Amino acid sequence: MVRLITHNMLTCHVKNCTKDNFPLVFENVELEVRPAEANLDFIKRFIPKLEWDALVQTARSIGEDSLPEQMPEDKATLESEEFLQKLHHVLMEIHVEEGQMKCRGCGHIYPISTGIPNMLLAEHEVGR
Amino acid sequence: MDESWIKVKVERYRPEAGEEEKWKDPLQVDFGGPGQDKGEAWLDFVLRDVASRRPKETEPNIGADVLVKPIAKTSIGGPAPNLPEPTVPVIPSEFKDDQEETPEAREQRMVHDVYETIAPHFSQTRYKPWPIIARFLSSIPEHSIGLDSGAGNGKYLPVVREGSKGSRMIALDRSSGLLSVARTQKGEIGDDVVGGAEECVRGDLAFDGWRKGIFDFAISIAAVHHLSTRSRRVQSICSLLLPLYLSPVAPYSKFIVYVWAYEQGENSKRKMGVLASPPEDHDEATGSNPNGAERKKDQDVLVPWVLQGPQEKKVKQPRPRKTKSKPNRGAAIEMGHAGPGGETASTAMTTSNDDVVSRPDETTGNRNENAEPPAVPEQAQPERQVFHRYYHLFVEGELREDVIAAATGMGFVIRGERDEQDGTRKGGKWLRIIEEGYEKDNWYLEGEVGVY
Ligand SMILES: [Zn+2]
Repeated sequence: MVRLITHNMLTCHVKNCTKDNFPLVFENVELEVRPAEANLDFIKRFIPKLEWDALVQTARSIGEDSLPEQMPEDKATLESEEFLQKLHHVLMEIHVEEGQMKCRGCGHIYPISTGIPNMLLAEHEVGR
Repeated sequence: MDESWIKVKVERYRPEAGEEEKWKDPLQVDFGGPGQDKGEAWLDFVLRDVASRRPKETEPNIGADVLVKPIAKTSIGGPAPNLPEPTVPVIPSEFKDDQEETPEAREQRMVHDVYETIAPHFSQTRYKPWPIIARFLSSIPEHSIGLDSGAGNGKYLPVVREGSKGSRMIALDRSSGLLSVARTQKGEIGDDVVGGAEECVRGDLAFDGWRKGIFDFAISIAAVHHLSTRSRRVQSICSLLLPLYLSPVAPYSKFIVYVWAYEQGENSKRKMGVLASPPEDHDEATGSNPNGAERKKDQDVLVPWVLQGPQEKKVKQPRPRKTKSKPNRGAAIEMGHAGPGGETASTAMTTSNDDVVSRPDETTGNRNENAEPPAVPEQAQPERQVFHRYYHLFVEGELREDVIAAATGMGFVIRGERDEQDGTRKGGKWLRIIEEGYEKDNWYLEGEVGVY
């Protein structure tokens, strides 16, 4: 279950990969949509941390286009139940079960298997 | 047939009133076989008659052979059971600095491969954390998102889900086997995981691919002590701090690190590492850090994990090199030892699935050992396998040093208890140590980070 909330947090961490290392691009994905109990306060609290463009772009890449191009500017819309529910669905209910995430910068592929993204790198790829 | 039964000799016992098959408090058992020490088990046991394999109707006599099966405990957070003085469950690590094996390779062999193999045996799905961790998690602001670095089987995920209103954690671990347990970790109240699964990411403790500022809190429980060099331990703490949100105002982002202590036992006087080494080495330090904690050369140890398995899956492996304490002694002991970081050892002798024990993974060079099989009737013959995991035992003050080294290396100012906000440092990152201490054989440090 790489959900989009987690995807929105993950960057490529290959050594010297600093350009276009976010967001990672989903490829060959198998999706599952599972209804989840909504915690709109959790969503609201997470909004300031979201990379909106990355979220919208990624959601569209997997056929989910309910989110507006621009994050609503007025607080009333942003915190409306309708908007938060929409965001809850995109962030918390869409699970990528299989597939991979590809870095646009260096091309590294992070496989996703049984819902778990593998962020491990080979020793020579580690930037430390 | 259930393979997890083992034959033991009853030395003494104390049945609980009203319980015929469950036994609490020390049941001293004799694992039999040459060179194997007797061990005490503090787990609950179900007893069976060896001959009939039926539940024992009556109390077994002292000296009788019985089959016992440890029952996984459902909670270990309560008052400590009346444990005898812990016995050394470790053998000294054989790693030397000049060995050619890299730290990465050594951890692969002595930590990751072992966890992958024993992962399904972390059968326990419900768990009460140690008081310090419970207190930390309950202090997290509502609707927060946190990181569990080195989450293992994810036992803290439901604690947060249920205990801290509306908060969630994302699990990071190196072992896909453990994460596959973590993703469906159920809680105390048996709630289903919201959305069907917890969020799990496979990566090592030094994973630095999180976006900065996304987590409101972070924990690393019983994980950092598996790293075999100081720079790698410090690096893992950097990676814990890096994704924390830095707020200019309270509430700030909090973190806790919990590691196994070199100083063991009720009054902290027992030095596990010391006991694991020959007497002449007791007080010999390999060198001391001028800034604080004295390093002992026996801080690096191997801790056994016992698996029971079906005989036919036996895999011939060379015995480990000679060590100064008997591995089997440690193995038996760990059954009753409330292990590092609050890990219960009740899983140490749980049922083995065929596909687990058949893969002690010779290709990856996992060290394991076939103990002398106890004298049990042919069809009941279990195989005990001992896997050794590497631990670095922290001495007093060492965790603080490592946290400070990580923080200052990242440009944090270490903030004191009473210093006032300083306008000249506006925008500067700070870290404050809230509390550090010792709990049940572990050192912990709780801190918070923010910006001026
Ligand atoms: Zn990259």
